[in-house]
Amino acid sequence: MLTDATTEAPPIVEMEGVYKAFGEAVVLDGFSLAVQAAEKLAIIGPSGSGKSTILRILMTLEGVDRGAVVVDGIPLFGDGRSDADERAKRVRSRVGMVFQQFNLFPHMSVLDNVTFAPRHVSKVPRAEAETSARELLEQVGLSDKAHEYPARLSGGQRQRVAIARALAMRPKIMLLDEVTSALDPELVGEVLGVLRHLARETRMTMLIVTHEMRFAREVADRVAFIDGGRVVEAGPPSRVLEDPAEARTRRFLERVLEA
Amino acid sequence: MSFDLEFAWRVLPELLSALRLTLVATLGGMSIAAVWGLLWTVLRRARSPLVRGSAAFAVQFVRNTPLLVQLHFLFYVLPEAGLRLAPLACGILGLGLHYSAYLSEVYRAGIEGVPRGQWEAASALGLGRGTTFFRIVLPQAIRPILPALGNHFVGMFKDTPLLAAITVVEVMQRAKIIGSETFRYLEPLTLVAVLFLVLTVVTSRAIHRLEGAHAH
Amino acid sequence: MAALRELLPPLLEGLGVTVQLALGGSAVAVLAALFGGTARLARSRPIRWAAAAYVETFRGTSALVQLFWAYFALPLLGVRLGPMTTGIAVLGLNAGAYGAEVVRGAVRAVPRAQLDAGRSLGLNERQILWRVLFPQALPAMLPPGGNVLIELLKNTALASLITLGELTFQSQVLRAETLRTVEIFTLLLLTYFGLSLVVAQAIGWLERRVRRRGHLEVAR
Repeated sequence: MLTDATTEAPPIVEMEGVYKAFGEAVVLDGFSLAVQAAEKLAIIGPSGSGKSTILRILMTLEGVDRGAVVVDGIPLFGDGRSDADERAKRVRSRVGMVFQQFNLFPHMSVLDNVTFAPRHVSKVPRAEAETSARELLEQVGLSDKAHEYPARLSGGQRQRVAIARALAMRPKIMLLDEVTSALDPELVGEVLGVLRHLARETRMTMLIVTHEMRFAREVADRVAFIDGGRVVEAGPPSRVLEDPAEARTRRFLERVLEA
Repeated sequence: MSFDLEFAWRVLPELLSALRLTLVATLGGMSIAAVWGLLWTVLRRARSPLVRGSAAFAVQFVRNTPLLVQLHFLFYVLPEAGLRLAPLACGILGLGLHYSAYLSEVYRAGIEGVPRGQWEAASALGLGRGTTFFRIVLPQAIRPILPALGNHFVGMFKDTPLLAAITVVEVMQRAKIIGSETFRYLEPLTLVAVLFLVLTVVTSRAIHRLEGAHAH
Repeated sequence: MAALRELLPPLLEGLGVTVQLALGGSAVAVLAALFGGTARLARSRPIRWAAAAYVETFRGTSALVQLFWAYFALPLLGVRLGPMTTGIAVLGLNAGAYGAEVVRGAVRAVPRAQLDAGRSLGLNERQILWRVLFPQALPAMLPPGGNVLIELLKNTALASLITLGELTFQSQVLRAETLRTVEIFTLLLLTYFGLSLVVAQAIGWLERRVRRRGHLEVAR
C-alpha cells in the first residue's frame, strides 16, 4: 500500500519507484510516496531504513539511481546536465530543511544566520531582511538572542534558530530531519513547541522524520512507516500508530515504546 | 682562532640593518603566497578536470623543485621574456610563488576540516557555490590553520638567505661581505645564525601559544 | 637537438654529484633522526636536553646558513671539511633534525597501552622502544619522512653556493657559457622534479613492504 490520497489536486511531492544504493548498501528499493500540498506527514521507521535519504533527495543533496522524483511540479534527476542544475536551484528555492545537527554558521550571529540567504539569494535589502528575521526569531521565541553567536546557545536554541533560518526563505515545503534527536531530553520540548505551532498555523507542506511518536500523533495528518527502503504502511496517525494494519509496523512500535 | 666578542659587537648594527631587508622580503613574499595559494586552492576545486589537473600538477611541481633554482629561473629567464625586475622584487616573487604551493595545501586541509553539514545547510538555503565557498566555508577554514600559516612564515624567513644568490644583499650576504673584507668570518656568520635562531624560536613559541589559545 | 646534446655532459656530471650528496645526506639524516628522535624520549634529562638542542638549532636556522657556517666559519675553528663532506654532513644533520621530530611524534602516537603491556611483561625500556613501539610507529613515519627526504633533495641545490659541482652549480656554469637560460633551467627543474618522483615512489614501495611485513592490519 502506497498512498492515501484523498484530494483531487496533484501531489506537491511525488516519488515513484525510487531506487538508491550507497555502494553495496541498498537504502531505497522501489520507494514510492505522494504528499499533498499543506499536508503534515510524519515519517517513522528503524534507523537505516532510508528516512533521512528521502529528505536529502528532495532537498537535492543526493541523487537517485532509478525512479522519478517531482517536487512542486519540477521533475528532478531528468536528462540534460545544465537543465538539471537549473531545476535543482528552483527546487531549493521552494524547499527548506532543518538538520539533526543544526548546521548553523558559527562565524555569524543569529541575526546574520537568518538574514544571510534572503539577502544573498533573494536579494532582499538588509533592512527588510532584518525586520523579517526579527519577526521569525520572535515566533521561535529567541528575539533577545539576535546578536548572540551560535556557540553561546543551547542545543534547543540553536535548533530554533535553524528553523527560523529555513523559514526566512519562505519555503513551500519544509523538511525536518530528526530535528530533536541530537538534543538533550529537556530541550526537546521547546523545539517541538515551535514545530507544533508551524504545523497548526501554516499551510506549509511538512515532512517530519521523527522518533517522537506522541508528537507525530498530535501534529501529523498522515504517518508513513518506512522499512527496508519502502513504505510499509501509511495513513492517519490514529490508525498507523495505534492500530497498524501491518505486523512489521506493530513490531517496530512495540520496540520503540519499550525504549 | 677564537671568537672576538668586541668585533662581533661592532658589526652587529650593520647586520641588523640588513635584517630589515630580510623582513621586507619575508612580508612581501608571504603576502603574495597567501593570495596565490588561495588561487591555487580555488583552481584545484574547479569544475573542469583540465583546470583541476593543471593546477594540481603546477603545485606539485613548484613544491618539489628547489627554491634556489626557481629564483635563478625568475632572475635569468624573466628578462628574456621582457620583464626586468629588481633583484629584491624578483626574490619576493620567487618566495611568494614557492610558498604559494605550500599554503595551497594548508588551505586545502583547512577547507576539508569544515564540517560537511555547513556545505549542506548552505545548499539547502539556496546559496550559490561562490557565496558558500567564500562567505561560509572559507571563514571557518582559516582560524584552525593560522598556526600552520605562521610556521610557513617562519620557514620563509629562514629561506631569505637564498636571495643572496640573485644579488640581494640580505643579512647572510652582508655577513659574508664583512667576512671577506675583514677576513673574520666566524663572528658575523655566528651572529647571523644566532639572530635567525632567536627570531625563529621566539616566533614559533608565539605561534604555538596562539595555537593553544584557539583550540576551544 | 644536437645543441641539447652539448648541455648534457656537464649536467649529467652534476646529476651524479647531486645523487651522491642526496644519498650520503639521507644516510646521515636517517641515523640522526633515529638517534635524535629516540633520545628526546629518553629517561635521562641531559640526553633529552642535548637532543632538543640539536633539533632546535638545526630547525631554527636554515640549511643555507648552516652550510655557510660550516664551510666558512668552521675552518677558522680548525675543522676543515671539503665541500662534499660539508654538504653531506650539514644537509644530513639538518634533515635529521626534522626527521627526529617525525620519529618522536610517531613513537609517541603508539597507544600507551602498548607501553604498559611491555612494562607489565618486565621488558626494559630499550626493548620496549625498539621491539614494541618502534615497529608499530614505523608505518606512520614513512610519509612525513619521505617529505623530509624530498626537502633534503631540494637542499642539495644549496651546495652549489659552497662551490660543490652538483646540478645547480653546473647549470650556472652552463648558463654563463652558453646563455641558453630557458633550456637549461627547464631541464634543471624537470630533473629535480623527476628525482623527487623517484624518492616518492621509493617511499611508497617502502611503506607497502613495511605494512606487509609488520602484519599491522591485524586489530590490536
